[in-house]
Amino acid sequence: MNKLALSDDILMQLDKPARYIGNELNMVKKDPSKVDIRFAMCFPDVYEIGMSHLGIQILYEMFNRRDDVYCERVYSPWPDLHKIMKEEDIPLFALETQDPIKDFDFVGITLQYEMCYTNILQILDLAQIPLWQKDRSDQDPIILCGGPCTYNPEPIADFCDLCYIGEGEISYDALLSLYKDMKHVGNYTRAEFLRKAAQIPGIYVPSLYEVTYQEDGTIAAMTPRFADVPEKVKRQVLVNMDEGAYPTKPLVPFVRATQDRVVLEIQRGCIRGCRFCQAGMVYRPNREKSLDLLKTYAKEMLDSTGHEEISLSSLSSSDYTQLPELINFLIDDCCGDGVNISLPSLRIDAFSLDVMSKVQDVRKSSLTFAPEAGSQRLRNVINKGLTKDDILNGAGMAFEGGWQKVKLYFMLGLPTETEEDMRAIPELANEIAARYYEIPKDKRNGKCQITMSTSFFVPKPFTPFQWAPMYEKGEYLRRAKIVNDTMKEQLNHKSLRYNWHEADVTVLEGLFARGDRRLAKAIYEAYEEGCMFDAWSDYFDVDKWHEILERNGISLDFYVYRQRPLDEVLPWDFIDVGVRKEFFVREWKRATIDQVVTPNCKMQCSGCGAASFGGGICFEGKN
Amino acid sequence: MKVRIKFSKSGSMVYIGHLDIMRYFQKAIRRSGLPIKYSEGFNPHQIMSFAAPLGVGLSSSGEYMDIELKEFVPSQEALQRLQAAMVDGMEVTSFRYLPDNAQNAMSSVSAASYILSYKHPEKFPYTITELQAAKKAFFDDAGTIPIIKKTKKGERELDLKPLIYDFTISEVCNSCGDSGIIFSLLVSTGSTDNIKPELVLDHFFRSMGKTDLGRYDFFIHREDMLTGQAPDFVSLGEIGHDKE
Repeated sequence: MNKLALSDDILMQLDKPARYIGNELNMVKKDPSKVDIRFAMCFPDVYEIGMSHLGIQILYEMFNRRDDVYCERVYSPWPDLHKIMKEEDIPLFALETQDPIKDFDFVGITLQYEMCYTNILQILDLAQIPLWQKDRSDQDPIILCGGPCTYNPEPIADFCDLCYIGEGEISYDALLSLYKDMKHVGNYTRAEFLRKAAQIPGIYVPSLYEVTYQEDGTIAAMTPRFADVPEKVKRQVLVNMDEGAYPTKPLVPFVRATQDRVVLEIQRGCIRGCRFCQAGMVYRPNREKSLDLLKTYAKEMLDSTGHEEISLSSLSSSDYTQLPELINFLIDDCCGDGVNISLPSLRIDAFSLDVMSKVQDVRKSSLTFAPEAGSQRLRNVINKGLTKDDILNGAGMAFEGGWQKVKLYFMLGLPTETEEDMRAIPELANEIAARYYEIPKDKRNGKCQITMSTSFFVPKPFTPFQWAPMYEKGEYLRRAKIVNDTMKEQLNHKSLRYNWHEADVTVLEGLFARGDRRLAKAIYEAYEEGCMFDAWSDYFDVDKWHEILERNGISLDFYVYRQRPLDEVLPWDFIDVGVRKEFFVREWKRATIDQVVTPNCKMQCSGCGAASFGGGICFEGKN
Repeated sequence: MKVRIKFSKSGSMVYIGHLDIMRYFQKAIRRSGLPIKYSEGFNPHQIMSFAAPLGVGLSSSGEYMDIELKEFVPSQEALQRLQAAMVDGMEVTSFRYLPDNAQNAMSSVSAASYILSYKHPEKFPYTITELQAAKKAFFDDAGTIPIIKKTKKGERELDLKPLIYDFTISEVCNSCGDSGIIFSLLVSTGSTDNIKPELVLDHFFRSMGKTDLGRYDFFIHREDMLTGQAPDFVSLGEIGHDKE
């Protein structure tokens, strides 16, 4: 029997022991004694969520292509196992070899959402690695963070040895080789390694920067402690998407993961420039993978996994230039017996409806629109190009094609939002329903169902809305109530449904998204007092969090509810994402003063700065 | 074309539950490229059924599933292709074509044989002689073994005796020189009167005055599943033929 870190007695007590045993199909097996570097790749949430993440699968593939590296995986033990590991002093282990990760060289943690921050500490604590970076010795692994939340890593900076800013395909080789060389020569010390690593493009070493504050609490300056440490850390970008490693033999878990399908990444970046969207800004420029490569990958991945479903991954699949060719290929050549295609984020038009009617049961499936704002005025403010006509025409075509269910996604609390904008949400839904009832009775199939969902807007770093204020919980709920009340006044209210997001967690998310290093102590105390899995409503304890914030003098007025001045030094200003701050300022003004849309990257270049990477949409058609 | 596949489950795979094993085989069959039949409709699924679910924590050398193929593939070749799609701990051991009128594994299974051993021998300070004497009184010489069985709907009285077809206790010596007690059981299995082997041992030890058994005090290995009636049981794996 292969070695397991947990005894049979423990495994039999757990909910889903399969989370902790490894041995999944396509798991990489290496002899750990024959590699130079052992890397534990961690997604700080439960196995089923973590295993669904494409980024980790890409890095797992990329690292393991190196003979001198063995990359293994680790996920957050669920609270049932957490308790046992603490009681019995069992160190957190990697799934592949089941060895304790405290003996590894690196622990890489991906930060996909702010509410996982206490889970980072859980990982370190269970691994028996000092939580604070200043307390780690030369024998402890290097703790490295990456992923979207590293576009403002400051709230967790004191727990990380280094952060990787940007796409993993570029600088990891240099980082790993530096480590390996220092170990071979025998001059490795943590301090010396970090100092040298800081000179690798995209590597941010928080401990090598000093932050000073003004009297009003804002940042005065963030300064490198040494002359050879760069003032700005430049985001790393894979310019030619066809050159990156891709997991053509992805892991297939035994327990059903959230993403139980082949995921084909078709492009990175987005041409649209929605002003609230961090992904649309920090992954610029838009870069597509070539159709031929995608065709090869699709076949290989279906063959190597046996998955019954394939899905396209990108921020806006409809913008992929050769989408019809790709989808027709998938339908004709890949989807023989029992393979489904799932099509996320497609703009509703004649083409997508035709495709959808081929791959799904029209009567059961629903149509999704994300207008994000109810009124045209507010859609202009957020730069969402979708018009009411687009929505009504798309829905109309769909209804005539047999669909009856529509889902609509909106945000509340966007900059400049008025009561009129809130009321426009159910009014739009009502018009969509009315469009359905225009179809003669004998040609439609009963009632339609229009579901509106609202989340609350959270300003994110490196967006034109990064200076915007948020609202208190009560205000969010008041806005949701206006939507709900207005819905009841609508003629077709019996066909409308409305649900809204929790407000408590939104405020905390806003705090972490734009926080600074002074939050670390509160995150630490929250973990020590039992907070973890904050992204799970069953575990999120809002009262405890507010008590801890208050005790630590962390003011939500300062971090969350305040309109920040455009000239304030922001905690994330030290990162150069390629898109310039002047562009964000310009966009903020176009949003809030002029209230006009900015053309997308295919229509016209707006000079955001991403052209500095030297590839992608910025250069297409311009030779 | 109906086919019966026999497989074993061991090592860390014992922690994978039945529903996940079904999903695992659906994907494994796709990887093997075997021409399995699908149901009609918008969400077609493979025509596949399992003899009897195996509980989490149990190993087995005698699991069965029946599938239907669209076209013939020689048994040896099919076996190799399926085996190539397995992970450690899963092994496909037989691939037999069934007669067209054969009952499927799920409806024909009537008994299963198990081997059980202690997880924590120190909790069971009994000699083989004591155990065998107690077993004689509990099983061999007993006319009935009345028990209360807890079901989803409540409790019901049940006589275990006619549902246990064989019960032996032996002592084996392993390579390390340690000795271990082995319990072998052949019990009724299927949609009616499905007897779990640990239930039998629980009542057996109660008859010895030991009432503190936990849910998972034994390593349990399912050796095989059988069809027919006592004493003429036939292994599910004996039905049908290899075809080349």
